[in-house]
Amino acid sequence: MEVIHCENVTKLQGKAKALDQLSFSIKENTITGLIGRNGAGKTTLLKILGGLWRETSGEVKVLSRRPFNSLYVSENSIYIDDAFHFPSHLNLKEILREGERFYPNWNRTLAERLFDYFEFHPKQTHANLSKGKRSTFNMIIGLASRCKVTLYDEPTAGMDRAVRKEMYRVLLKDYLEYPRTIIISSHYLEELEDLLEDVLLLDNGKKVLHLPMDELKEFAVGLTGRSEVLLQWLRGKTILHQQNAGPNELYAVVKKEDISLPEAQRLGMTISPVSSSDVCVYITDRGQGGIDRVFR
Amino acid sequence: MSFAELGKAVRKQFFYKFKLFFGLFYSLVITQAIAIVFSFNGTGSISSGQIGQIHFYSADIVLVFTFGWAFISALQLTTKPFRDNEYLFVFNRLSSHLSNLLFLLALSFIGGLSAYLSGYLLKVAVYMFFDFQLIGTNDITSPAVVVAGIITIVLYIWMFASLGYMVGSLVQFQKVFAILIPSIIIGCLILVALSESEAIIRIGKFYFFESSFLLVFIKTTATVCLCFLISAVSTNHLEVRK
Repeated sequence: MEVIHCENVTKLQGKAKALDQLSFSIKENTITGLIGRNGAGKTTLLKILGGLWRETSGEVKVLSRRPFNSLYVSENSIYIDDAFHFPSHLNLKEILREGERFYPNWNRTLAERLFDYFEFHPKQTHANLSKGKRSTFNMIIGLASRCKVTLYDEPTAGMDRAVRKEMYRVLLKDYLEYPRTIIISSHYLEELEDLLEDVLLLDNGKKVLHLPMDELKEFAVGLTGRSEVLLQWLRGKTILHQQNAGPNELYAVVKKEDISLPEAQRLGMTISPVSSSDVCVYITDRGQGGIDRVFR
Repeated sequence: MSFAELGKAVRKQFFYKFKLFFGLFYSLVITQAIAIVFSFNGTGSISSGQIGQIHFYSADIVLVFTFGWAFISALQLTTKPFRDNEYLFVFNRLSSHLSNLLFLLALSFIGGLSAYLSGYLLKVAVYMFFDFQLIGTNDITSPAVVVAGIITIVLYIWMFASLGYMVGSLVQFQKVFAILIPSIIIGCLILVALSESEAIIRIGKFYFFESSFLLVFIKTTATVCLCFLISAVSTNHLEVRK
Protein backbone atom coordinates (compact mmCIF):
# COMPACT_ATOMS: atom_id res chain seq x y z
CA MET A 1 0.00 0.00 0.00
CA GLU A 2 1.20 3.48 -0.83
CA VAL A 3 1.37 5.72 2.19
CA ILE A 4 2.92 8.72 0.54
CA HIS A 5 2.20 9.72 -3.01
CA CYS A 6 3.39 12.87 -4.76
CA GLU A 7 2.62 13.84 -8.29
CA ASN A 8 4.17 16.83 -10.05
CA VAL A 9 4.56 18.67 -6.77
CA THR A 10 5.97 22.15 -7.16
CA LYS A 11 6.68 24.56 -4.34
CA LEU A 12 7.57 28.15 -5.09
CA GLN A 13 9.42 30.24 -2.58
CA GLY A 14 9.34 33.72 -3.95
CA LYS A 15 10.28 33.09 -7.56
CA ALA A 16 12.61 30.18 -6.82
CA LYS A 17 11.40 26.62 -7.18
CA ALA A 18 12.14 24.73 -3.99
CA LEU A 19 10.45 21.67 -5.44
CA ASP A 20 10.11 21.21 -9.16
CA GLN A 21 7.58 18.75 -10.62
CA LEU A 22 8.45 16.11 -8.07
CA SER A 23 6.73 12.73 -8.39
CA PHE A 24 7.33 9.66 -6.29
CA SER A 25 5.56 7.31 -3.95
CA ILE A 26 6.57 5.46 -0.82
CA LYS A 27 5.19 2.16 0.35
CA GLU A 28 3.89 1.36 3.78
CA ASN A 29 6.37 0.38 6.48
CA THR A 30 9.63 1.33 4.83
CA ILE A 31 12.53 3.47 5.89
CA THR A 32 13.53 5.91 3.19
CA GLY A 33 16.56 8.12 3.24
CA LEU A 34 16.06 11.57 1.80
CA ILE A 35 19.42 12.63 0.47
CA GLY A 36 20.54 15.77 -1.26
CA ARG A 37 22.82 18.73 -0.94
CA ASN A 38 21.97 21.83 1.03
CA GLY A 39 19.02 23.56 -0.62
CA ALA A 40 17.98 20.50 -2.61
CA GLY A 41 14.45 20.72 -1.20
CA LYS A 42 14.60 18.09 1.54
CA THR A 43 13.12 20.23 4.31
CA THR A 44 10.50 21.71 1.99
CA LEU A 45 9.36 18.26 0.97
CA LEU A 46 9.18 16.97 4.54
CA LYS A 47 7.30 20.04 5.75
CA ILE A 48 4.77 19.63 2.97
CA LEU A 49 4.35 15.94 3.78
CA GLY A 50 3.88 16.84 7.45
CA GLY A 51 1.14 19.33 6.56
CA LEU A 52 3.05 22.36 7.84
CA TRP A 53 3.57 23.95 4.45
CA ARG A 54 1.33 24.10 1.44
CA GLU A 55 2.33 22.85 -2.01
CA THR A 56 2.05 25.44 -4.78
CA SER A 57 0.80 22.93 -7.34
CA GLY A 58 0.60 19.20 -7.88
CA GLU A 59 -0.93 16.50 -5.76
CA VAL A 60 0.31 15.37 -2.37
CA LYS A 61 -1.31 12.44 -0.60
CA VAL A 62 -0.29 11.17 2.79
CA LEU A 63 -2.39 8.27 4.06
CA SER A 64 -4.64 9.02 1.06
CA ARG A 65 -5.35 12.57 2.19
CA ARG A 66 -3.97 15.98 1.42
CA PRO A 67 -1.76 16.75 4.43
CA PHE A 68 -2.18 20.52 4.58
CA ASN A 69 -4.89 21.40 7.10
CA SER A 70 -5.75 17.75 7.69
CA LEU A 71 -6.36 16.81 11.29
CA TYR A 72 -6.12 13.14 10.42
CA VAL A 73 -2.66 13.49 8.89
CA SER A 74 -1.58 15.70 11.76
CA GLU A 75 -2.55 13.01 14.24
CA ASN A 76 -0.94 10.20 12.29
CA SER A 77 2.27 11.89 11.28
CA ILE A 78 5.02 13.73 13.07
CA TYR A 79 7.70 16.01 11.72
CA ILE A 80 10.89 16.25 13.75
CA ASP A 81 13.62 18.80 13.14
CA ASP A 82 16.08 20.74 15.24
CA ALA A 83 13.99 23.91 15.22
CA PHE A 84 11.26 22.45 17.38
CA HIS A 85 9.92 25.33 19.41
CA PHE A 86 8.78 23.99 22.71
CA PRO A 87 7.21 26.41 25.16
CA SER A 88 9.91 27.77 27.42
CA HIS A 89 8.04 27.32 30.68
CA LEU A 90 7.27 23.64 30.25
CA ASN A 91 10.00 21.32 31.47
CA LEU A 92 11.04 18.20 29.60
CA LYS A 93 8.80 15.82 31.53
CA GLU A 94 5.83 18.08 30.97
CA ILE A 95 6.54 18.18 27.25
CA LEU A 96 6.56 14.37 27.17
CA ARG A 97 3.26 14.36 29.04
CA GLU A 98 1.75 16.72 26.47
CA GLY A 99 2.99 14.46 23.68
CA GLU A 100 1.28 11.54 25.36
CA ARG A 101 -1.98 13.47 25.55
CA PHE A 102 -1.93 14.32 21.86
CA TYR A 103 -0.69 11.15 20.17
CA PRO A 104 -2.89 8.06 20.46
CA ASN A 105 -0.11 5.49 20.01
CA TRP A 106 2.36 7.14 22.40
CA ASN A 107 4.72 4.67 24.02
CA ARG A 108 5.38 5.96 27.49
CA THR A 109 7.75 3.18 28.54
CA LEU A 110 10.02 3.79 25.59
CA ALA A 111 9.96 7.56 26.13
CA GLU A 112 10.86 7.25 29.79
CA ARG A 113 13.56 4.65 29.27
CA LEU A 114 15.25 6.72 26.56
CA PHE A 115 14.83 9.82 28.69
CA ASP A 116 16.71 8.15 31.53
CA TYR A 117 19.26 6.48 29.31
CA PHE A 118 20.35 9.74 27.73
CA GLU A 119 20.46 11.33 31.17
CA PHE A 120 17.95 14.08 30.83
CA HIS A 121 16.84 15.88 33.92
CA PRO A 122 13.04 16.06 34.23
CA LYS A 123 13.10 19.68 35.38
CA GLN A 124 15.33 20.93 32.58
CA THR A 125 13.79 23.17 29.96
CA HIS A 126 14.15 22.55 26.27
CA ALA A 127 15.73 25.93 25.59
CA ASN A 128 18.60 25.21 27.99
CA LEU A 129 19.65 21.98 26.33
CA SER A 130 22.74 21.82 24.19
CA LYS A 131 22.31 21.36 20.47
CA GLY A 132 23.00 17.64 20.50
CA LYS A 133 20.84 17.05 23.56
CA ARG A 134 18.02 18.96 21.97
CA SER A 135 18.17 16.78 18.87
CA THR A 136 18.24 13.69 21.07
CA PHE A 137 15.17 14.84 22.95
CA ASN A 138 13.32 15.67 19.73
CA MET A 139 14.11 12.23 18.44
CA ILE A 140 12.72 10.65 21.58
CA ILE A 141 9.46 12.47 20.87
CA GLY A 142 9.52 11.17 17.31
CA LEU A 143 10.15 7.60 18.43
CA ALA A 144 7.65 7.57 21.28
CA SER A 145 4.82 9.11 19.26
CA ARG A 146 4.73 6.02 17.05
CA CYS A 147 2.96 7.87 14.26
CA LYS A 148 2.17 5.97 11.10
CA VAL A 149 4.29 8.45 9.18
CA THR A 150 7.40 9.72 10.91
CA LEU A 151 9.44 12.41 9.22
CA TYR A 152 12.91 13.18 10.54
CA ASP A 153 14.65 16.23 9.15
CA GLU A 154 18.33 15.89 9.95
CA PRO A 155 17.50 14.38 13.32
CA THR A 156 21.11 13.83 14.30
CA ALA A 157 22.26 17.45 13.92
CA GLY A 158 24.68 18.25 16.69
CA MET A 159 24.79 14.73 18.15
CA ASP A 160 28.15 13.16 18.74
CA ARG A 161 29.06 10.01 16.87
CA ALA A 162 28.29 7.67 19.74
CA VAL A 163 24.81 9.05 20.30
CA ARG A 164 24.16 9.05 16.56
CA LYS A 165 24.97 5.35 16.35
CA GLU A 166 22.84 4.57 19.39
CA MET A 167 19.95 6.54 18.00
CA TYR A 168 20.06 4.69 14.68
CA ARG A 169 19.99 1.46 16.63
CA VAL A 170 17.02 2.56 18.68
CA LEU A 171 15.28 3.65 15.53
CA LEU A 172 15.80 0.26 13.89
CA LYS A 173 14.78 -1.74 16.95
CA ASP A 174 11.65 0.26 17.50
CA TYR A 175 10.84 0.05 13.81
CA LEU A 176 11.09 -3.75 13.89
CA GLU A 177 8.85 -3.86 16.91
CA TYR A 178 6.35 -1.37 15.56
CA PRO A 179 6.71 -0.98 11.78
CA ARG A 180 5.76 2.36 10.28
CA THR A 181 6.72 4.57 7.38
CA ILE A 182 9.80 6.60 8.13
CA ILE A 183 11.63 9.20 6.08
CA ILE A 184 14.98 10.46 7.29
CA SER A 185 16.89 13.27 5.72
CA SER A 186 20.53 13.27 6.64
CA HIS A 187 23.98 14.24 5.52
CA TYR A 188 25.52 11.10 6.95
CA LEU A 189 24.44 8.54 4.40
CA GLU A 190 27.34 6.19 5.15
CA GLU A 191 26.12 5.87 8.74
CA LEU A 192 22.58 5.22 7.63
CA GLU A 193 23.43 2.59 5.05
CA ASP A 194 22.42 -0.37 7.16
CA LEU A 195 19.22 1.29 8.28
CA LEU A 196 17.71 2.46 5.02
CA GLU A 197 15.68 0.36 2.65
CA ASP A 198 15.23 3.00 -0.04
CA VAL A 199 16.98 6.16 -1.01
CA LEU A 200 15.39 9.22 -2.57
CA LEU A 201 17.97 11.59 -3.97
CA LEU A 202 16.93 15.16 -4.67
CA ASP A 203 18.80 17.88 -6.46
CA ASN A 204 17.49 21.40 -7.09
CA GLY A 205 13.99 20.28 -6.15
CA LYS A 206 13.98 17.46 -8.65
CA LYS A 207 14.11 13.73 -8.15
CA VAL A 208 17.42 12.29 -9.30
CA LEU A 209 17.19 8.75 -8.00
CA HIS A 210 14.69 6.69 -6.08
CA LEU A 211 15.87 3.15 -5.62
CA PRO A 212 16.52 0.50 -3.00
CA MET A 213 19.65 0.93 -0.93
CA ASP A 214 21.12 -2.34 -2.24
CA GLU A 215 20.88 -1.09 -5.80
CA LEU A 216 22.47 2.21 -4.90
CA LYS A 217 25.44 0.38 -3.43
CA GLU A 218 25.89 -1.37 -6.77
CA PHE A 219 25.05 1.70 -8.81
CA ALA A 220 28.53 2.79 -9.81
CA VAL A 221 32.11 1.56 -9.99
CA GLY A 222 35.41 3.36 -9.87
CA LEU A 223 37.98 2.66 -12.56
CA THR A 224 41.63 3.56 -12.34
CA GLY A 225 43.85 3.29 -15.34
CA ARG A 226 46.01 5.08 -17.88
CA SER A 227 44.33 8.34 -18.81
CA GLU A 228 44.22 7.97 -22.58
CA VAL A 229 43.06 4.34 -22.49
CA LEU A 230 40.41 5.08 -19.96
CA LEU A 231 39.08 8.19 -21.69
CA GLN A 232 39.13 6.45 -25.04
CA TRP A 233 37.22 3.51 -23.68
CA LEU A 234 34.67 5.63 -21.85
CA ARG A 235 33.90 7.87 -24.80
CA GLY A 236 30.17 8.36 -25.19
CA LYS A 237 29.46 7.09 -21.70
CA THR A 238 28.48 9.24 -18.75
CA ILE A 239 31.39 9.86 -16.43
CA LEU A 240 29.98 10.75 -13.03
CA HIS A 241 33.26 11.87 -11.64
CA GLN A 242 36.88 11.96 -12.65
CA GLN A 243 40.10 13.00 -11.02
CA ASN A 244 43.81 12.50 -11.52
CA ALA A 245 45.14 9.53 -9.65
CA GLY A 246 48.81 10.06 -10.42
CA PRO A 247 51.01 10.87 -13.40
CA ASN A 248 49.07 9.78 -16.48
CA GLU A 249 46.63 7.91 -14.27
CA LEU A 250 42.96 8.70 -14.07
CA TYR A 251 40.24 7.70 -11.64
CA ALA A 252 36.76 7.72 -13.12
CA VAL A 253 33.39 6.80 -11.70
CA VAL A 254 30.82 5.38 -14.10
CA LYS A 255 27.46 3.68 -13.92
CA LYS A 256 27.92 -0.03 -13.54
CA GLU A 257 25.31 -0.87 -16.16
CA ASP A 258 27.15 1.24 -18.78
CA ILE A 259 30.29 -0.81 -18.89
CA SER A 260 31.42 -4.41 -18.92
CA LEU A 261 33.65 -5.25 -15.99
CA PRO A 262 35.56 -8.14 -17.62
CA GLU A 263 36.53 -5.87 -20.45
CA ALA A 264 37.78 -3.24 -18.03
CA GLN A 265 39.89 -5.88 -16.36
CA ARG A 266 41.21 -7.01 -19.67
CA LEU A 267 42.30 -3.45 -20.42
CA GLY A 268 44.27 -3.43 -17.19
CA MET A 269 42.11 -1.12 -15.12
CA THR A 270 41.72 -1.36 -11.41
CA ILE A 271 38.10 -1.68 -10.37
CA SER A 272 37.00 -0.34 -7.02
CA PRO A 273 33.59 -0.05 -5.38
CA VAL A 274 32.09 3.39 -4.84
CA SER A 275 30.26 4.04 -1.60
CA SER A 276 26.64 5.08 -1.83
CA SER A 277 27.31 8.47 -0.28
CA ASP A 278 30.02 9.18 -2.85
CA VAL A 279 27.63 8.20 -5.61
CA CYS A 280 25.14 10.75 -4.30
CA VAL A 281 27.79 13.45 -4.13
CA TYR A 282 29.03 12.72 -7.65
CA ILE A 283 25.56 12.65 -9.18
CA THR A 284 24.62 15.98 -7.67
CA ASP A 285 27.99 17.59 -8.41
CA ARG A 286 27.72 21.20 -9.52
CA GLY A 287 29.85 20.72 -12.63
CA GLN A 288 33.41 19.80 -13.38
CA GLY A 289 36.14 20.74 -11.00
CA GLY A 290 34.03 21.26 -7.87
CA ILE A 291 35.02 23.87 -5.33
CA ASP A 292 38.47 24.22 -6.91
CA ARG A 293 36.85 26.22 -9.69
CA VAL A 294 36.31 29.10 -7.26
CA PHE A 295 40.05 29.54 -6.76
CA ARG A 296 41.03 29.34 -10.36
CA MET B 1 -12.58 14.79 9.39
CA SER B 2 -15.44 13.99 11.69
CA PHE B 3 -16.87 16.25 14.35
CA ALA B 4 -15.77 13.83 17.04
CA GLU B 5 -12.17 14.02 15.81
CA LEU B 6 -12.33 17.79 15.65
CA GLY B 7 -13.89 18.03 19.10
CA LYS B 8 -11.21 15.81 20.57
CA ALA B 9 -8.42 17.88 19.06
CA VAL B 10 -10.03 21.14 20.19
CA ARG B 11 -10.38 19.86 23.73
CA LYS B 12 -6.75 18.74 23.89
CA GLN B 13 -5.52 22.02 22.46
CA PHE B 14 -7.70 24.02 24.85
CA PHE B 15 -6.07 22.47 27.90
CA TYR B 16 -2.63 22.63 26.32
CA LYS B 17 -3.13 26.36 25.81
CA PHE B 18 -3.73 26.92 29.49
CA LYS B 19 -0.26 25.61 30.17
CA LEU B 20 1.20 27.35 27.18
CA PHE B 21 -0.15 30.82 27.80
CA PHE B 22 -0.08 30.87 31.55
CA GLY B 23 1.93 34.10 31.43
CA LEU B 24 -1.20 35.93 30.29
CA PHE B 25 -2.64 35.56 33.78
CA TYR B 26 0.33 37.35 35.30
CA SER B 27 -0.16 40.23 32.91
CA LEU B 28 -3.85 40.29 33.88
CA VAL B 29 -3.00 40.65 37.57
CA ILE B 30 -0.51 43.44 36.85
CA THR B 31 -2.90 45.26 34.52
CA GLN B 32 -5.74 45.18 37.01
CA ALA B 33 -3.50 46.19 39.92
CA ILE B 34 -2.38 49.27 37.99
CA ALA B 35 -5.99 50.03 37.10
CA ILE B 36 -6.99 49.85 40.77
CA VAL B 37 -4.26 52.32 41.68
CA PHE B 38 -5.57 54.69 39.03
CA SER B 39 -9.06 54.23 40.40
CA PHE B 40 -8.13 55.55 43.86
CA ASN B 41 -8.79 59.01 42.58
CA GLY B 42 -12.41 58.07 41.96
CA THR B 43 -14.06 57.50 38.63
CA GLY B 44 -16.22 60.63 39.01
CA SER B 45 -17.10 63.27 41.56
CA ILE B 46 -19.66 65.95 42.39
CA SER B 47 -18.93 69.06 44.41
CA SER B 48 -21.64 70.40 46.66
CA GLY B 49 -21.37 73.45 48.93
CA GLN B 50 -23.18 71.87 51.83
CA ILE B 51 -21.66 68.42 52.11
CA GLY B 52 -18.33 68.93 50.35
CA GLN B 53 -17.25 66.60 47.59
CA ILE B 54 -18.72 63.27 46.65
CA HIS B 55 -16.45 60.73 44.90
CA PHE B 56 -17.70 57.79 42.96
CA TYR B 57 -15.69 54.59 43.00
CA SER B 58 -16.28 51.85 40.50
CA ALA B 59 -14.51 49.18 38.53
CA ASP B 60 -14.86 51.20 35.32
CA ILE B 61 -11.15 51.89 34.91
CA VAL B 62 -10.30 48.28 35.73
CA LEU B 63 -12.79 47.20 33.12
CA VAL B 64 -11.37 49.44 30.42
CA PHE B 65 -7.85 48.24 31.23
CA THR B 66 -9.07 44.65 31.07
CA PHE B 67 -10.53 45.33 27.62
CA GLY B 68 -7.11 46.52 26.53
CA TRP B 69 -5.43 43.51 28.09
CA ALA B 70 -7.82 41.13 26.31
CA PHE B 71 -7.20 42.86 23.00
CA ILE B 72 -3.43 42.68 23.29
CA SER B 73 -3.38 39.12 24.66
CA ALA B 74 -5.53 37.84 21.82
CA LEU B 75 -3.37 39.67 19.33
CA GLN B 76 -0.33 37.97 20.83
CA LEU B 77 -1.86 34.54 20.30
CA THR B 78 -1.62 35.07 16.56
CA THR B 79 2.05 36.05 16.50
CA LYS B 80 4.74 33.68 15.28
CA PRO B 81 6.35 32.62 18.58
CA PHE B 82 2.96 31.78 20.06
CA ARG B 83 1.86 29.93 16.95
CA ASP B 84 5.09 27.95 16.79
CA ASN B 85 4.43 26.73 20.30
CA GLU B 86 0.89 25.88 19.46
CA TYR B 87 1.47 24.00 16.23
CA LEU B 88 3.67 21.32 17.74
CA PHE B 89 1.31 18.47 18.18
CA VAL B 90 -1.99 17.56 16.60
CA PHE B 91 -3.71 20.51 14.99
CA ASN B 92 -5.23 22.02 11.93
CA ARG B 93 -6.25 25.62 11.37
CA LEU B 94 -9.88 25.09 12.26
CA SER B 95 -9.17 23.26 15.50
CA SER B 96 -6.64 25.90 16.37
CA HIS B 97 -9.12 28.73 15.84
CA LEU B 98 -11.86 26.98 17.78
CA SER B 99 -9.61 26.23 20.70
CA ASN B 100 -8.40 29.84 20.66
CA LEU B 101 -12.01 31.03 20.67
CA LEU B 102 -12.74 28.94 23.72
CA PHE B 103 -9.47 29.80 25.39
CA LEU B 104 -10.18 33.50 24.96
CA LEU B 105 -13.63 32.97 26.44
CA ALA B 106 -12.02 31.32 29.46
CA LEU B 107 -9.53 34.19 29.72
CA SER B 108 -12.39 36.69 29.48
CA PHE B 109 -14.28 34.89 32.18
CA ILE B 110 -11.37 35.06 34.59
CA GLY B 111 -10.59 38.65 33.62
CA GLY B 112 -14.26 39.67 33.89
CA LEU B 113 -14.79 38.02 37.24
CA SER B 114 -11.74 39.63 38.77
CA ALA B 115 -12.63 43.00 37.22
CA TYR B 116 -16.08 42.76 38.76
CA LEU B 117 -14.69 41.83 42.15
CA SER B 118 -12.06 44.54 41.97
CA GLY B 119 -14.93 47.04 42.38
CA TYR B 120 -15.44 45.71 45.91
CA LEU B 121 -11.73 45.60 46.55
CA LEU B 122 -11.55 49.24 45.57
CA LYS B 123 -14.33 50.27 47.93
CA VAL B 124 -12.82 48.34 50.81
CA ALA B 125 -9.40 49.85 50.09
CA VAL B 126 -10.81 53.38 49.97
CA TYR B 127 -12.71 52.79 53.18
CA MET B 128 -9.63 51.47 54.94
CA PHE B 129 -6.95 53.84 53.71
CA PHE B 130 -8.75 57.15 53.17
CA ASP B 131 -10.60 59.29 55.60
CA PHE B 132 -13.87 59.30 53.71
CA GLN B 133 -17.41 58.88 54.78
CA LEU B 134 -19.05 56.01 52.93
CA ILE B 135 -22.47 57.09 51.67
CA GLY B 136 -23.69 54.06 49.79
CA THR B 137 -22.26 50.92 48.29
CA ASN B 138 -25.04 50.50 45.80
CA ASP B 139 -24.66 46.77 45.48
CA ILE B 140 -27.61 45.33 47.28
CA THR B 141 -28.95 43.68 44.19
CA SER B 142 -30.45 40.31 43.46
CA PRO B 143 -28.10 37.44 42.53
CA ALA B 144 -29.66 37.31 39.07
CA VAL B 145 -28.60 40.89 38.40
CA VAL B 146 -25.08 40.19 39.65
CA VAL B 147 -24.77 37.13 37.42
CA ALA B 148 -26.15 39.02 34.43
CA GLY B 149 -23.68 41.82 35.15
CA ILE B 150 -20.73 39.46 35.26
CA ILE B 151 -21.81 37.69 32.09
CA THR B 152 -22.14 41.03 30.35
CA ILE B 153 -18.65 42.04 31.40
CA VAL B 154 -17.28 38.68 30.21
CA LEU B 155 -19.01 39.09 26.86
CA TYR B 156 -17.59 42.57 26.37
CA ILE B 157 -14.08 41.35 27.20
CA TRP B 158 -14.52 38.42 24.85
CA MET B 159 -15.57 40.82 22.14
CA PHE B 160 -12.43 42.91 22.60
CA ALA B 161 -10.33 39.73 22.64
CA SER B 162 -11.82 38.56 19.37
CA LEU B 163 -11.23 42.00 17.85
CA GLY B 164 -7.57 41.68 18.84
CA TYR B 165 -7.52 38.16 17.44
CA MET B 166 -8.94 39.38 14.17
CA VAL B 167 -6.44 42.23 13.93
CA GLY B 168 -3.58 39.81 14.64
CA SER B 169 -4.82 37.34 12.05
CA LEU B 170 -5.18 40.04 9.43
CA VAL B 171 -1.61 41.16 10.10
CA GLN B 172 -0.44 37.56 9.66
CA PHE B 173 -2.35 37.44 6.40
CA GLN B 174 -1.01 40.72 5.02
CA LYS B 175 1.72 42.69 6.72
CA VAL B 176 0.23 45.93 5.41
CA PHE B 177 -2.49 45.64 8.06
CA ALA B 178 0.16 46.19 10.71
CA ILE B 179 0.30 49.80 9.55
CA LEU B 180 -3.24 50.16 8.28
CA ILE B 181 -5.13 49.14 11.41
CA PRO B 182 -3.30 51.36 13.95
CA SER B 183 -3.66 54.25 11.52
CA ILE B 184 -7.40 53.71 11.33
CA ILE B 185 -7.76 53.44 15.11
CA ILE B 186 -5.71 56.55 15.80
CA GLY B 187 -7.52 58.38 13.00
CA CYS B 188 -10.86 57.49 14.55
CA LEU B 189 -9.74 58.68 17.98
CA ILE B 190 -8.70 62.02 16.48
CA LEU B 191 -12.02 62.25 14.67
CA VAL B 192 -13.91 61.70 17.91
CA ALA B 193 -11.77 64.20 19.81
CA LEU B 194 -11.91 66.95 17.20
CA SER B 195 -15.26 66.74 15.55
CA GLU B 196 -17.19 64.29 17.73
CA SER B 197 -17.81 62.16 14.67
CA GLU B 198 -21.39 61.02 14.81
CA ALA B 199 -20.82 57.62 13.20
CA ILE B 200 -18.14 56.47 15.60
CA ILE B 201 -20.05 57.63 18.65
CA ARG B 202 -23.05 55.76 17.34
CA ILE B 203 -20.98 52.56 17.13
CA GLY B 204 -19.97 53.05 20.75
CA LYS B 205 -23.57 53.61 21.77
CA PHE B 206 -24.67 50.57 19.80
CA TYR B 207 -22.56 48.34 21.98
CA PHE B 208 -22.30 50.06 25.35
CA PHE B 209 -25.59 51.89 25.80
CA GLU B 210 -27.66 48.79 25.45
CA SER B 211 -29.92 48.14 28.41
CA SER B 212 -31.35 44.79 27.36
CA PHE B 213 -29.23 41.83 28.44
CA LEU B 214 -30.47 39.69 25.59
CA LEU B 215 -29.51 42.31 23.02
CA VAL B 216 -26.06 42.72 24.56
CA PHE B 217 -25.65 38.98 24.33
CA ILE B 218 -26.69 38.90 20.69
CA LYS B 219 -24.62 41.91 19.67
CA THR B 220 -21.40 40.74 21.34
CA THR B 221 -21.57 37.10 20.30
CA ALA B 222 -22.43 38.09 16.75
CA THR B 223 -19.39 40.37 16.70
CA VAL B 224 -17.22 37.59 18.12
CA CYS B 225 -18.42 35.14 15.47
CA LEU B 226 -17.80 37.65 12.71
CA CYS B 227 -14.29 38.36 13.96
CA PHE B 228 -13.44 34.67 14.13
CA LEU B 229 -14.88 34.04 10.71
CA ILE B 230 -12.66 36.76 9.26
CA SER B 231 -9.67 35.37 11.18
CA ALA B 232 -10.34 31.84 9.98
CA VAL B 233 -10.69 32.89 6.37
CA SER B 234 -7.64 35.12 6.39
CA THR B 235 -5.33 32.52 7.95
CA ASN B 236 -6.63 29.44 6.18
CA HIS B 237 -3.57 29.22 3.94
CA LEU B 238 -1.06 30.22 6.57
CA GLU B 239 2.00 27.98 6.74
CA VAL B 240 3.54 27.24 10.09
CA ARG B 241 7.05 26.82 11.44
CA LYS B 242 8.62 28.71 8.58
